[in-house]
Amino acid sequence: MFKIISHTADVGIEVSDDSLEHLFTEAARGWKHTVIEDSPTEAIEERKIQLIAPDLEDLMVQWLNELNFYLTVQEWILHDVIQCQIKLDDSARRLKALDRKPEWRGDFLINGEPLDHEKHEICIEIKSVTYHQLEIKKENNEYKTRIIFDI
Amino acid sequence: MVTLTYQNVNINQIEEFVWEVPRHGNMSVPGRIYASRKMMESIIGEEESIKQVINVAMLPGIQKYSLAMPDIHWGYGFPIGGVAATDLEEGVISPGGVGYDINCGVRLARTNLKQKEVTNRMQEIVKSLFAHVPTGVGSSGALKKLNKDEIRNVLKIGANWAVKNGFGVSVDLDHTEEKGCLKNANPDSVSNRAIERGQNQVGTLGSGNHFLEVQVVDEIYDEKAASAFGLFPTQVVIMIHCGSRGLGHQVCDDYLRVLSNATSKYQIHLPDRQLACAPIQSTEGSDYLGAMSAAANFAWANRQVIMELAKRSLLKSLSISERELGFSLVYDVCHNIAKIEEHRTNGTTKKVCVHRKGATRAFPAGHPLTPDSYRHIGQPVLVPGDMGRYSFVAVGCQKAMEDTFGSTCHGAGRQQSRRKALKAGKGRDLIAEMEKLGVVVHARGMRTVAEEMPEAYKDVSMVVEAMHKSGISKKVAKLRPIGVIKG
Repeated sequence: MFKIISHTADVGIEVSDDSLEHLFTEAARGWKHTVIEDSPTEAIEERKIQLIAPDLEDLMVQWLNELNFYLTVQEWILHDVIQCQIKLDDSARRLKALDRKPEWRGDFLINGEPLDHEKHEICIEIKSVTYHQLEIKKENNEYKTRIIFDI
Repeated sequence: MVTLTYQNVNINQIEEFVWEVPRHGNMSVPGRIYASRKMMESIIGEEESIKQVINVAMLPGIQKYSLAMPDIHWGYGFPIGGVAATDLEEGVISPGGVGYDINCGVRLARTNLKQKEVTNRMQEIVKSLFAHVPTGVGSSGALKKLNKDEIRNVLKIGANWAVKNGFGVSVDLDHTEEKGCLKNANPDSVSNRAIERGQNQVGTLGSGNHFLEVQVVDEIYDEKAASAFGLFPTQVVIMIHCGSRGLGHQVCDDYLRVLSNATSKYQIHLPDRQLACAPIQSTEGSDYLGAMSAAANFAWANRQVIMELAKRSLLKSLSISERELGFSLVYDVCHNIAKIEEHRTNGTTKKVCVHRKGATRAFPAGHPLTPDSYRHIGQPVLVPGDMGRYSFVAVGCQKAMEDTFGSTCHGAGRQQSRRKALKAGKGRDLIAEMEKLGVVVHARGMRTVAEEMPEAYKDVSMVVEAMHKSGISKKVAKLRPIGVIKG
């Protein structure tokens, strides 16, 4: 579930759901709604995304920035998230052998279509997803976060 | 002198327009905010912006004060309107002190035209400008798509690239901050993704609060300075406000991640992740400085191309000669940047890294980096307002060198969220309302017009006045918009 929030100079989303996978999926839907609101989209093409980050917040920023990159540079808009897997790679022995810290890994399968300015009304150009007060929390079996977009 | 309180901290008025947040907690230096009492009360009400002034005061190597201009409002890491200088040896550089839109800035071009010569032709002038200058979300296509090597060249030489390719003349460079090129730019520090984002965006305005306006000189406060800048009453001028587009946003994004890791590597303790930073002398710090400078060069090339497109548009729509148009650049300033500059701190002159995030350089008369033609007057400062009221030209003063690392304000700042502005614009003929105010507006969509209506912004004159009265930058002229193109 996501909710659009409005700051004086910027916009953002509040997202909550019962698992990390659902949280990341809903955040993508919230990003999409911020950008094109209710413009219709179709599942023409699938894309796989694999991301690695030192923490969940960084993974979230990378994930939404990836979708933003597809839109602003490749002119490709998300339709929906088909698969989402979020894992903590913390096998202590293996990491010690590799001299690495634990990291979060996100595997995503999404679909979408080429941007069509006649069909998709871009309401807001997001410069970037920010780390401003970004925190992914678990409260009462629910994951929650608040993401601010720089526009 | 008055004392106000913010979260149990006394904020002391030390001059009519200067307020000090005393050093406390982990602050290395005090905070100083430029504002009238009324403005200060409203800033305190905003809460987060003062907290951000305090946070910036904790950056390693910060010199003298964590400063904020009267247009302060909350940003990411630094507040918008924040200025901080850090020591080159012991200090850090932070993308949070520059912002996502690296070298977002303003340029002002003069013409020989008077308002009466264009009044009846504003519709076709604005329509033509809109056709010549790509605007809006993901706008592209001013030039053919540049290949990656060409973009690297833009990143290396900045506005020079535009001039070499027929966009403007070399004298424009003399009237551009840093002559439109930061020499420490390092295109090799810029990611492939950032370069991809820039390939199609040289000469594009973008969206949001970026604009190109036809304005008239409405009032002159300082005749000597106005005359030196080539300005006279009722004159038609062109103001352009934009930055480094997607390329700059990507550089900021890339380096927030790099510097976030560096922050823990160098054991720097920060109260906010958006303040991620690294020692200026470290590999990470110097890579960011090189990439950020390259993005700044991209922005100067962008504004230089846009200005030339605007000139061509005016020549065409008015069917006049170059001599009759008399088009030339008054000045180009950036207001989101970190630069190595010489300043006096603790009785000695030394090089420091000045972060200006939503703040404009304001060097005084006699400063060696002020262009020859303005050396006796001082550097022009350009402060854009909203699209219905006015923008200002000011000039830097000596007090800026003494008190604010040669910096002053940069603009109005929003007072209404975009959503609230959209709601307020529902059911209204906003284009007709703007026309009643004497402004012809052309935008890609009505949404931007609603979001950017004058009522959504604070009154920029209060901001300019505070800096004028504090002696940091003096008012030279007021400019009134008569034509606007927006994304």
